[in-house]
Amino acid sequence: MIIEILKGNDAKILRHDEKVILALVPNDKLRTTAELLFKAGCYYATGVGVDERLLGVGFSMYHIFNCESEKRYVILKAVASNLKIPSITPVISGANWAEREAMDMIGILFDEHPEPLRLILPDDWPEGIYPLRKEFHYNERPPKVEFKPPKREKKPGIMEVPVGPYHPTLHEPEVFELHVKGEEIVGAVYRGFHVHRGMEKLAEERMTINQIPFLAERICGICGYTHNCAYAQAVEDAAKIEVPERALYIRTILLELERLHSHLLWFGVAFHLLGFDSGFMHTWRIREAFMDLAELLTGNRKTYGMNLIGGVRRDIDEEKKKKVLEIFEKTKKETKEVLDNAVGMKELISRMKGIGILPKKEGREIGVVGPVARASGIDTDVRRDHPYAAYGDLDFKVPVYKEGDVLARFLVRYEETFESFWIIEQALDQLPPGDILNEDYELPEYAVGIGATEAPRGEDVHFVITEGGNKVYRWRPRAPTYNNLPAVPIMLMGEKLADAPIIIASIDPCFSCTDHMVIVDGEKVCRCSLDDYLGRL
Amino acid sequence: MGRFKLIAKAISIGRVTEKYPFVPLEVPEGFRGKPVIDPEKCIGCTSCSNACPPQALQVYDDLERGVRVVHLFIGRCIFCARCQDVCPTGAIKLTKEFELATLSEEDLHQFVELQMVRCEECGRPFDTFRHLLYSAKELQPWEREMMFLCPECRAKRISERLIFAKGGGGYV
Ligand code: SF4
Ligand code: SF4
Repeated sequence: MIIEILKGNDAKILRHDEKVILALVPNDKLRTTAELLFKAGCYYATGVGVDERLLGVGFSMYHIFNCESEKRYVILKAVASNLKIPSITPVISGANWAEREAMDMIGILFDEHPEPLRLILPDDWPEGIYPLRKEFHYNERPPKVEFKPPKREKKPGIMEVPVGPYHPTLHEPEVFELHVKGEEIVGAVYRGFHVHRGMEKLAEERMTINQIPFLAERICGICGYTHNCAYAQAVEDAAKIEVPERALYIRTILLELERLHSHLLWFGVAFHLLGFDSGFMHTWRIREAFMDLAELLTGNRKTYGMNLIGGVRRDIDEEKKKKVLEIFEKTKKETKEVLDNAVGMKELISRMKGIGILPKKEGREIGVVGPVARASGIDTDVRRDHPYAAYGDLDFKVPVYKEGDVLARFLVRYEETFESFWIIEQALDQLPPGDILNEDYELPEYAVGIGATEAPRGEDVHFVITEGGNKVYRWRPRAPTYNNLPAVPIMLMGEKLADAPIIIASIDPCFSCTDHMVIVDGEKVCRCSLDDYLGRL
Repeated sequence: MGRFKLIAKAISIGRVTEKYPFVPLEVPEGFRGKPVIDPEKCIGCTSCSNACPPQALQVYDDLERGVRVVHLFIGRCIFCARCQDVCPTGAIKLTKEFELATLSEEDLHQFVELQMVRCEECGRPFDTFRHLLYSAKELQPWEREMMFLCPECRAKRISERLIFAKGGGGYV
């Protein structure tokens, strides 16, 4: 069905297999094609601008759609003529940031973009310098230009409450500016991008394919391994590298171990925010066992560093297997005890129930992912929809709740925690014999690959264009919080100020991974630049 | 009700905080701690510096003194153990040591200096003795003869011979 839409719009199919359809779409048909895909149930994952001048193409934009119904990713490629590509934001609002990112970093202009404003580059960055163009070097420091923040006027009757520049519990740089009338939140401004680390540039210019996994892992301080996997999968997909089965199982085990510690961490943070500190202590006490397990299996508590292109670096032997199961026996019981105890506490549950609601329709439009989506009735999970690692062979449930409130997000994570135990037990039990690393491959020149994983916070998408040799030409990771953050202002509207911390935390945000901004003005969500917003205040 | 259960639980578990640093902390086998180079085993092959993702390992030649320096700076190290993976002689190994805080930055550097060989022809130092010996095992007899030439002089000699061989008929 998707292929018919593409062919009906004069698209040239560049790649067509069970995982990915890549099509070059003529610029005049781009918007209609994107709209038809969206209507056919594909949601917008992300967009990647690429400087392809060295390949004789020019500047191009890759729009990536997740087509769950066909278990495929569909990529629409458009090539800029005269630096211009028609914007698809008027029909798919989720493309707003991706297009503006390409505008900032590559210098592509998007025709009819509703808000063609700076998103990523700081205000004192000079005009006309685009960091992801090939002539710009990773260690270049352009001169700062002077920038005057626009004057702001206060709205009568509205108080501004800043939350930041560090989040009170997550210890990450972010600024939420909440506008309150009495106790009620009537507007929220999110300002991010303080920690853009220029990873994409560093990777494509200075690093080799087997060094990038270690950089990818450092995208996130909590769920880094899943980025590492997504990157490896993207290169393996582009180069059609066969990964040994045993390696796929080991990846699965570690991915779920990461989910376990990540969810327990979140429970702890949530309990702390709700004033239930003993719950926080207990979940983190239990979590410690998973950190030790990770140390035993990989050599480090947090940065597993287990992947290379083509497999994993360390095996899991019988002794380690026994140890994991031993610890699981104890921790599974304890986790259940502590979480069930919390679920049984009326005061705690009523603090989460009915607040921070994200309706399904809005969620779909924004393209929210992971537990945030599943708590709003959107049945999506990369592990099931685009099976990777060993998930295709294993049995697990995907919990979905309709309520869309903080409690639903809590319960989704609650159920997922026990699914993770079950997945690891199965994977250990079925661990196939054989090699763990396939190093017999050659990197093709300029092949496109996609790697997607279900991180604890939702879908991670990594896009890679190989360069041949041992280099990548372009690498673009997209963290789940990038898609989930725009939903926060919707959740915050009309809520009590005292509930703001738990609502923000309920998406389990990862600011450093994402770093973008969202603005809600009155009742309307307008993802625009802060300056523009302040100018209009 | 839940709260009382939790109190009972807390009492039964007792204190879980480790007494560290007053008692040493055990780390498991295979822990990735501070890398250390064994200067006796290192041959200066540059494999590790090519693999090291954050460039914590750098290898450079001091042509004046005729030594190759393998420089490890722990301040940049991410403890990934790629160096250990690729080292052909097992010279660099990650230890279990993780207490790296120090008052003097010098403690975070390790330098291994290896004597280099000068090219027979042009006199420029071009490789370490140890690496040359190490790779000599894999050389063909006719290559061994040119082993003490730097790559440039070697290329020159080979092309000269080819020209000679063409004229004289047959390879010498
Ligand atoms: S452990 Fe990794 S970062 Fe450290 S020196 Fe070795 S290769 Fe470099
Ligand atoms: S022998 Fe080992 S430590 Fe020495 S330069 Fe080669 S890879 Fe590095």
